[in-house]
Amino acid sequence: MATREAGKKMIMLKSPDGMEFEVEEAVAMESQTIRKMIEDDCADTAILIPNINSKILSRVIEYCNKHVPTTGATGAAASDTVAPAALAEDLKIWDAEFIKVNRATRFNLIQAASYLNIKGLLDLTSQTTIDTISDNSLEEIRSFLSTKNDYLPEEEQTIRRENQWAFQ
Amino acid sequence: MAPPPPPPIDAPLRLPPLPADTILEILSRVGDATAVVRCAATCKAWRRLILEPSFLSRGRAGRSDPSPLLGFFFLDTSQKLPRRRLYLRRPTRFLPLGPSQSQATALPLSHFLPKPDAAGLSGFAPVTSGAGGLLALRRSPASSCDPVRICVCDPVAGTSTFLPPLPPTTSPENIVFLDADGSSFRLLAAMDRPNGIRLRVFSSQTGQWGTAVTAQLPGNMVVHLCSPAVVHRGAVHWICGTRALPNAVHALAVRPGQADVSVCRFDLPLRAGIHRLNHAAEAVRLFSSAQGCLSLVLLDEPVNVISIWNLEDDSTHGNSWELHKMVHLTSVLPSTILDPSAGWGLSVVALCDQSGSLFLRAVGEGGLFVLNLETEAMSRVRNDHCAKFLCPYVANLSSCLGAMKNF
Repeated sequence: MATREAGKKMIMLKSPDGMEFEVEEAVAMESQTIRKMIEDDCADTAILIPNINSKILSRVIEYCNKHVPTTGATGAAASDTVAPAALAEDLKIWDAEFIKVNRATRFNLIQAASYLNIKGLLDLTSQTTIDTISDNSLEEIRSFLSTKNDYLPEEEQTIRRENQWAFQ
Repeated sequence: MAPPPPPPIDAPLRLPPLPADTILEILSRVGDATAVVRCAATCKAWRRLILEPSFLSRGRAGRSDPSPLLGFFFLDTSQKLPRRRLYLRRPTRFLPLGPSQSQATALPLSHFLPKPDAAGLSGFAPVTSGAGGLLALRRSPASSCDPVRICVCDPVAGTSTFLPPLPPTTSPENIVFLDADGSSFRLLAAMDRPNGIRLRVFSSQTGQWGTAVTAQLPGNMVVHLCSPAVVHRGAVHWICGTRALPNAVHALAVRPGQADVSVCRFDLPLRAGIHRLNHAAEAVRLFSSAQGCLSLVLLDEPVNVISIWNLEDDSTHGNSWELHKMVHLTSVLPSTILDPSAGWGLSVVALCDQSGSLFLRAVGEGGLFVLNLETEAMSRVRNDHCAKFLCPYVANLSSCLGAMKNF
């Protein structure tokens, strides 16, 4: 993925609660948002990441750290067919562990992944969310999404009749 | 890999709601029709947001991921074998393949279609599905003089089109969608004739069957027309053999034109040739892959490997098959299924192009498995094998949303 060799250049990320994280440029560039800032030379000193607290930001960095070498390896040497497959398997297990977090953290991770535009993390958090939505009853989904049912009983009947297959 | 454990449902804490924007982005990225419909049922504000035209376009720009599989149609054959003919009269059922397979219950086909249509479709069973969320159903004839009745429907949008009946003398061996998008489709019916394959194409734009054309086949060719037909770039492909070697050695590509039809034949990878034509579909399948080329799946049972081959188009050397990837079944299937002493065997029952999923049946007590050819994720969808598999189904989210009522 990385076209130019980034070397070991470090980038400083700052959360709004004042914590600073020093990460390798390659790790930070897992985020398309930060990549763009770096490429546009807007990242001379520290990059302030708004709306993402230090707890979440540290988890996001943990994710990027884990995922950065594989993206590089598969891009560079696709001929090593055995190792990347085993590596991908490891990553999947790691991801499954990583996403075992409570609802609040998961929501925050989704928002962070969305803002920072980290495709892998967004895929992971999205899929877990979709699984939750498909797995639970309408009432549980409402509580999960923090929405309030404002359908009249007959309207809800109509909706259920319209797409019976989705409400089993 | 074991499926991730279900995420915990937290106690309803005082949490700031996730911005609708973020969830909508997630929904549109994943494109899971069931999840979208369910979210739209939670409250009016969500429904309005989902039914806005911008919902479908967001996050999908430049996306060419395979659509998620909604499930598959089957006939329940679980009753005693001596009465097996009876199950042909049973209603078709549908098994949704969400992430919550463990809880999924099979639905009757009538759950999809509006009442008058559902009643008119008694005796019809799905034969093939196509892009654009379409499903072709065919009525099993009560006698040999009954005309051939075919209906094309979009089950999630609840629409259906009855095609003009074909005379009983032209009963097709195979029916397949030539192309389909949200607005129109073409359906091809293929009939076995002594001098070749007779083809008729129905176009939804004219509402009529076109005139029949016949594809002349080389004299020594053997092709089972009822075996799976795969459409790739406007040509229908069958696996075929020769009279001297009735094995899976060639592929036949038939491209119907306005007034004529072109036919070409090319070799399959050598390893496919060990399979006799009449059983070849259980181990060798062609499919139109997400990468845009014609591909072949080969189940090598003795070594428990599935290999996927891509047909590389080379103008100087002609076509050649390149090994694209191998999936080692020992790492994705329970070891008991692969234990040769248990006397179980694996066979391919279906391959869904649009979702890139391969359905495998484990004979014995194994059940039915789905392998995602892209991610190599395998999941068990049924524990028994009493279902007569009919066809997989991929929903079209935009036609589904188009049919939903706003409040």
